[in-house]
Amino acid sequence: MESQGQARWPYLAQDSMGIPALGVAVVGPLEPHPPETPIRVDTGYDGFLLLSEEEYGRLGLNLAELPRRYWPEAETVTSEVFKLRRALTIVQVPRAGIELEGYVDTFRENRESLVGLTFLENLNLLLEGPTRHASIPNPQASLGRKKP
Amino acid sequence: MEKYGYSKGAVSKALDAALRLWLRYDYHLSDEEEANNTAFESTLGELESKHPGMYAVIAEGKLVAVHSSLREALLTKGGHSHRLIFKVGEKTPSKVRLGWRAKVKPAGHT
Repeated sequence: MESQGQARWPYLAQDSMGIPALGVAVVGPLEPHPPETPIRVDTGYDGFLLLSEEEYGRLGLNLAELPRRYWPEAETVTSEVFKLRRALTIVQVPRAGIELEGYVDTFRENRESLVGLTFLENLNLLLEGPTRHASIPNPQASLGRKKP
Repeated sequence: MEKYGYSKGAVSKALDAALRLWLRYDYHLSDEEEANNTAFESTLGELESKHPGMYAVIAEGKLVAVHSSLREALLTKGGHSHRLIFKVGEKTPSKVRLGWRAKVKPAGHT
C-alpha cells in the first residue's frame, strides 16, 4: 500500500476542544476497498477498533467473526458488563501507508466508532494541540507491531 | 445504575429493566451462527495440530478453507449471513474497557 499524502487529520468537532481522530479504512468481506473515514481516538477504550453496529453490518463483519468463545466482555465506566461481538479484519491508515490486522468490536445499539489503545500501540501518533491536528510524523517508524 | 424506590409499578419496572439488562448482556445466536460455532469447537483440536498460525474459515457449519493470509480468508466465499474467521492458536483478551465515549443506553426508569 502506497502512502497517499500527509498523514495528518484535523480534530473532529464535538465540543469547544474538538477530539483527535485518525483516518482509517476498514476492510470487510463486503467492502474490500474501503474509503478512508475519520474515527475518533479514545484512550479510555483499550481494544483495537470499535465500530457502530450499523457500520459493522454494512462492512459484512458478521462474515468475519471470531468464534463466540473469543468474544470479550466489555465493562463501561459505570461498571455495566456485557458481551461484545468481535470480528477479525484488516484496517488501513491509507495516508501513512500502514496496514494492520486487528479485532473490530461492536455491541447492541452501539452508535460510536472509536480507535482504541491497542490500535495506538502500533503508531507514533502526535497530537498537535495548538493546531488541533493528529499526525503520524514518520509512518515507517510506526510499524513496530503488525497485530494486536 | 438506576434506583428503584417505592412507587406504583416500581417492581414491574425494575423487572423490566433487569430483563433488558439481561438481554443486553449476551447474544442469542441464529441457527447458522450456532452451527458455525459447533463446527469450530469440533475442529479446533485438529486445526491446532495441523495448521497453527493459519487463518481458518468456517461457514455453513463446516470448515471451508485454511489460508496463510487474512486477506485471502476475508475473500473466501460461503455462508449466507455468517462466517467465522480466526487465526488458529491465537488467544484474545477476555475483557475490554470501553471508556467514556462509548455510550450505553440506560436500561430504564421508574
